[in-house]
Amino acid sequence: MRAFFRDIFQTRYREATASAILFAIVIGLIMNAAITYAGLKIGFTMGGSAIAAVLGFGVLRGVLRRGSILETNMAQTCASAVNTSNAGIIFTVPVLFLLGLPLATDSADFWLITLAAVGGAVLGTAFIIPLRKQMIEIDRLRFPTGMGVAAILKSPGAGPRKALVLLGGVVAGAAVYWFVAAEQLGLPSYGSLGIGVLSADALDAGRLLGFPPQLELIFGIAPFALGAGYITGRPGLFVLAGGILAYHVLTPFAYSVGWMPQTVAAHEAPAYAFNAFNRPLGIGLLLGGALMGIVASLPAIREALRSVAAAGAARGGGDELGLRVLGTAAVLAGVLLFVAAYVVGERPFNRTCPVTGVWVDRVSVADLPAGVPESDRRAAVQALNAEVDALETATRTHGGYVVRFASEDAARTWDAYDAGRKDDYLASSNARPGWLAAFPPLLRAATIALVGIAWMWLAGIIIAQCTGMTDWSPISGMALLTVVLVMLLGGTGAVVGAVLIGAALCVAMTLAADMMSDLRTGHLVGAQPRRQQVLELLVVGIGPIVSMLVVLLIAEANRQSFGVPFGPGTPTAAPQAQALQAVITGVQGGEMPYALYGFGALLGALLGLGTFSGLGVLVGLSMYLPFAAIATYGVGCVVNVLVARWKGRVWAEDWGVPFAAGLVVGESLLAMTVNMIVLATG
Amino acid sequence: MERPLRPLGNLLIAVSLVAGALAATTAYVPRLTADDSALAAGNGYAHLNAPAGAETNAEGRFVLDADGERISLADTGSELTPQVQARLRAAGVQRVRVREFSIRRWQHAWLFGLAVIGLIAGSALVKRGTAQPLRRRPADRGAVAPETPQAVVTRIVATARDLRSELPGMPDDAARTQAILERVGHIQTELSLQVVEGRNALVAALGLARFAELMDAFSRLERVLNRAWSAAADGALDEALRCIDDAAAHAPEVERRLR
Repeated sequence: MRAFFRDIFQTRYREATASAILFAIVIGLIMNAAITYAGLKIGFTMGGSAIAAVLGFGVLRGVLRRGSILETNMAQTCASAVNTSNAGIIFTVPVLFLLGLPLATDSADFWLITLAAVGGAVLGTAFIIPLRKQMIEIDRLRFPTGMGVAAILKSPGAGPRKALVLLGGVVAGAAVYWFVAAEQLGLPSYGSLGIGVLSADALDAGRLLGFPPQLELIFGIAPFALGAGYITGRPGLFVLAGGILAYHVLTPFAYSVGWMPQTVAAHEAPAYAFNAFNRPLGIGLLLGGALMGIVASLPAIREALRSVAAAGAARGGGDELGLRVLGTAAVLAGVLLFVAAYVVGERPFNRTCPVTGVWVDRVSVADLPAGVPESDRRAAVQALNAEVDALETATRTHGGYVVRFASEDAARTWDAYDAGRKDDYLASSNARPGWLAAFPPLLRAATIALVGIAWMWLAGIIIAQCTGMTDWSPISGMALLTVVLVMLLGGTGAVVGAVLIGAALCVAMTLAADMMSDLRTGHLVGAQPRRQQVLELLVVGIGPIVSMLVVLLIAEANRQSFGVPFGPGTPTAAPQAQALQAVITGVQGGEMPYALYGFGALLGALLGLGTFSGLGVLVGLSMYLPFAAIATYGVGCVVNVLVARWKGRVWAEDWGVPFAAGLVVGESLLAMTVNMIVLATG
Repeated sequence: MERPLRPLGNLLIAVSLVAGALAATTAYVPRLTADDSALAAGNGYAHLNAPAGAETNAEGRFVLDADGERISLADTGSELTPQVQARLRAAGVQRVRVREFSIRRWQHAWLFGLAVIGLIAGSALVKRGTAQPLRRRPADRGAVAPETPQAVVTRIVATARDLRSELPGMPDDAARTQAILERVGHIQTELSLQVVEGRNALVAALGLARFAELMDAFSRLERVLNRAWSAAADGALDEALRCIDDAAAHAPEVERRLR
């Protein structure tokens, strides 16, 4: 073990150092808090790798005057690991608040979810490690942000002209994005210029060109998307094609031939189409395409795993963590998910007695109505909980659910109900039995754990593939599918359990993609994969704790100021959680268009038979992303193709990528700075 | 006759995708036919998953509520009983969005089926169109042509060897550093890119399994060279030289897998 760590922290050439780790944790914590807030506000998050790379240079090389390229790479690897988990948290956890199931530090659910998310972070990282060879070395996925970060790290060694190009990109990105970010600070923004086609963050070119409102042609003012599109290059054009299919073919056609309700006005058609068919079809295409991609890559995956196993068996363990990590992670994931599924599954799902209507669950401050004065809330909670604790409650099982009663008498009354009446109670509580309702509790938990492991691995690969090919991460779609899957297995009333497992799996997926992107950067600068993998595993558990606490902090602040924790009427609308809430209520009401997901998956899989196996992923991804982001990203791809044709492929890479990386950094740095100001000043 | 196969296949895939996606969007949007039983589901009738119809005034204009929204004739969740169906039909509503899927109600199932066949046929054409030019290319594995990706890999391997043999003879550390930055930099910006762009040709020549074996060895050499570049850029020449030695030591394995 000593030899292992001596190799990780070797001193021959600065790579894994205490200063890099310390810097990474500090900057990762700051980014995590700021980006969690931003994500709750605007609905999407950003990776922190590029920001950490730039700041790493400033601190490790500029201030401490001893950093190397690889040490800065290690710092950005760890910082982004601490930061990235916020996407998995904010896309899932706030939905509990929106559904009236609030969390607080004195509730067991809060700590259970936090623990599950920490476990998910470690396991997601460990699960994806053995696929590094397949994705980065054999399939050569580009990971545009990973490439951009490598361009940043290498810029001083690449000569002053390239550093200037990078700096030019940073300045241009920040300058263009300034008038978007300024709105958050109450300063003049694009929206306040009074130009009709220019909103706060987008240019409505369709309106400018006189397109009908159902045909959306909007370009987001997003240097980040432009830069990522440029770095992706030609393959990104398939993403643009998917966006055109969804927003310029399906939506206007469905509207014009009357496939949408008459209550939908022309300008509402894109939003209606998104929810009714573009998103389900897109997610289906993405899933089918990803599955086909995995099938097509099986020889490469087999070779990669064989190589990793051989390296692991060699003296010294080779350059990266071996298959033992995967095995250990699978076992730990199984235990974690089993315990989570069992504990949550065996908890009563109801908060009031179905017979007497008496409150039978412990409450937290967040459960109290808004009218209770702040000074009285703690005492009110204590009093209510004392009443609950004094009850001699009883439980019964029905339809796979544990139901709690205020007393044994109440439970006996329930026993006398016929099955139909009991079913009606479950139905009125939106608690339809899951597919595994007939299983004994232990077997049910074990099955959920096994499905969870398989899904964690599969979804991690899907997210990493998407990020590798396009830089877009379909984490919101995967979060949605994860929660739906758990609800179908465990029952639609098991919302807390579904969100708990969903949060763990979503954090795992985001970290899988982050690990792979960082390993791509590492490959380009010559980092040893094992050192990156070990350090990421050491720090990755910090992120979910920070994100959970920030979510709680914001919810409490909102509750005190606006009476509600999240959603409309607060500065943090949590749009992704609202979308998940709609899906959860859709599952509970039997409104999910499962067939559309299936048809999309079939189309996505068949698309992968032709030109290249990942085509369904690219097309599907863009069908469920906002067109404004797709359009700007597509412009970046087209510019790359044109520059390559005009100046040559090598020139386009050599000079274009540093500038594009600068655009990514410029927007990210400015956005994070503004978010920090807003977070600090309220 | 062989050349148009690929573009033809791609065109067929694109048309089939659009047709399939359009057909799929109607999976939950059945027509309101004269036969009420067409919307039967389970023990009753299908339920609306979106508002249906819209109230209009005598002039045929939509009636708006206080929020300026159109008022529907039947709300989401309503069961499509014969009475509701009749009311919607009378208002001229032709299609409704329902919760329950049924293949019997899916009017464009045939189009989706055609799209599936089109995607399979298009993919077969693309595969055939891709394979033909590659098959016509002489598969001489002993002496590769200079423009092939195999030749580029060979050049990269040779660069590693040349660097190892030439570096000790250079006048000073500055010259060694400069040589590493320039020659490995050339690999990074040009040669590696050519290998990636030649992926399909390599797969066609070696098969996917052997391609994977080659890339496994090649990537290790490439990563060590990248490390040499980073170390040289940081002024850590000892590490850079050690990496060049390491890269040269990996060269025979790459060459073995290339053959």
